Amino acid sequence: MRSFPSRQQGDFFDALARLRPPLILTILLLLVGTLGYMAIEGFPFVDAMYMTVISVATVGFGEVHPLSTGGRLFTMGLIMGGFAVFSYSVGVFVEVITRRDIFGLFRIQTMESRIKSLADHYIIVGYTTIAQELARIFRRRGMLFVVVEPDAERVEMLKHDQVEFFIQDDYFRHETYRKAAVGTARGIITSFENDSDNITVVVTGRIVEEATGRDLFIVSTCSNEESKVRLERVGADYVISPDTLIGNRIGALALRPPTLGSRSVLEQVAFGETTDLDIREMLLPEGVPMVGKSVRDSDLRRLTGAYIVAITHEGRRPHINPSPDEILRAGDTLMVIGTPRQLDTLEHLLRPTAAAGVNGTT
Amino acid sequence: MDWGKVASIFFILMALTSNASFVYGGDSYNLVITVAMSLIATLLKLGSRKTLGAELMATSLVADLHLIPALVAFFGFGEVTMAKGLAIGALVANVISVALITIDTILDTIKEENAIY
Repeated sequence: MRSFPSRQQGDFFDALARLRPPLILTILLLLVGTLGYMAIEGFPFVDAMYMTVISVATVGFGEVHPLSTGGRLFTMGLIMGGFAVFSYSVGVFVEVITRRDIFGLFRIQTMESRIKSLADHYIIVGYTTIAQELARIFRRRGMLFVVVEPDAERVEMLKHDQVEFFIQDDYFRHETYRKAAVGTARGIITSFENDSDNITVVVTGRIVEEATGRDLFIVSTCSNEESKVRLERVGADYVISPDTLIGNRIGALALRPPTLGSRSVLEQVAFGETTDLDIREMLLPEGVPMVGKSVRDSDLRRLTGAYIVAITHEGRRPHINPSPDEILRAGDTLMVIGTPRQLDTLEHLLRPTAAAGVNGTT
Repeated sequence: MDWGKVASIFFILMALTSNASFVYGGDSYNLVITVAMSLIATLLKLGSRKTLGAELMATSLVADLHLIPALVAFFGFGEVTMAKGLAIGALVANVISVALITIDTILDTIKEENAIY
C-alpha cells in the first residue's frame, strides 16, 4: 500500500520545494552566462563558465580574456541579473533555514523512517499526563513506543521529555497509524480525558487492525462506568478508570500502610515500577511438556529460576501458594514471580513451538 | 491549468530532447544545455510528493551522473566519443523518466476520478 506523507513530512517537502526556484534560477543564469560568453566572445567552456561565476558572484576578479563591446554589455546584464537572483536566493535560504527549521524537519523525517522499522511496539495516542507517566515507565523497561499527538504544544513537551519516536498528526486518520507502523505494533493505548476521543481512537484502531490483519491489544482509560461499557463495546480490550484505580490504591494503602518507608517493594512490583523483579500471569497452553506434571516434576524452578505463586485452574478461583504436588493442566493460568529474564525464559518455554524443540531434544 | 506541472514536464522533456540532439549532433552548446536542463529536472523532483516521486528522482540522478562526467570528458579532455557514450546512458534514463512521468500522470488522473471528497 502506498503511504502518504504525514503533516511533518509534508512540511519538509514544502521547505524543500521552496528551495527549488532560487536553485533553478541560478542554474539558468549560469547556463545563459556560459552560452553567452561561448557565443559572443568565443570563449572555451571552462573560461566562459568561470567568467559567468565571477560576474554573478560580483567578486571583482579580472577578465579571463579582453571583452568586446558586445561582451561588456552582456556582462553588465549578467551582473545585474546575478545580483537579483543572489538577493532572492539568500532571502529564501534564510527563510527556509530559520523560519521553517529545515534541519528540524529533516530530523523528524529521519525519525519517521526509523519508526517504519519498529516491531512489537505500543502506539500511545495523545500525550496526556497519564501517557507521560506511561512513557517514563516504558522507557525504563526498554519497551518501544510511538506517541501520536496532534497538538503542537504537547509535541514540544514530547521533545522536552526526549521521547524518541512521535508523530504529529491527527489520531482519527488511518494514515497516522500506518506511519506509526501499526502493522507490526503490539497494541494501542489511549488516555484522553474526553471519552469521545478515546472512543474515536479505539474505533479507528479496530478499523486499522482489520485493514492490516494485525491483532492489536487496545487499552483505554474512561471517566465513568457508562463510558467503560461503550469503550468495551466498540472494541477496547481493557478499559481502566483512573479514578477507580487511584481510589483502590489509596484504599489499599489506608488498609495496610507500608511499614518499610513510603513505597514498599511489593507495591513497586505490582505497578511495574521496578526493573529487577516482576510478576506476570501466563497461560499454560496445550502441548507443552509440563502439562500433566506436578509443580515439583515440571522442574520450572530449576529451568527458569522463577516461582509460581498462584495457579488458576480454568473457571475456578486462584490457588495461592500451591503445593509442589499440585498438577499443572492445560488452560491453567500461572502467576509467576521472578526477574524479567527468568520470566522471559519461562514465557519462551510456554510457547508450544519452543516446547516442541525441548521435546525433540530430550 | 497547473503551471507548476507545466514547468516540471517542460524541463523533463527539455532534458530528454536536448540530450537526444547532443547524441545526434555532438555539439558543445547542446551538451551544456542538456546538463543544465537535467539538473533543473532533478531539482523539480526534489521533495516531490508524486506517487512515483522516488523513482523519478532516481532516474534523474542517473541522468545527471552520466551527463556531468560527459561534460568533463568533452571539455576537459576532448573525449567526444566518451562524452557521447555517457550521453546515450543519460538518454536511456531520461526516456525512462518520461515514461514514469506519463504513468504518474495516469495514476493521478485515476486517483482524482476515484476521489469521493
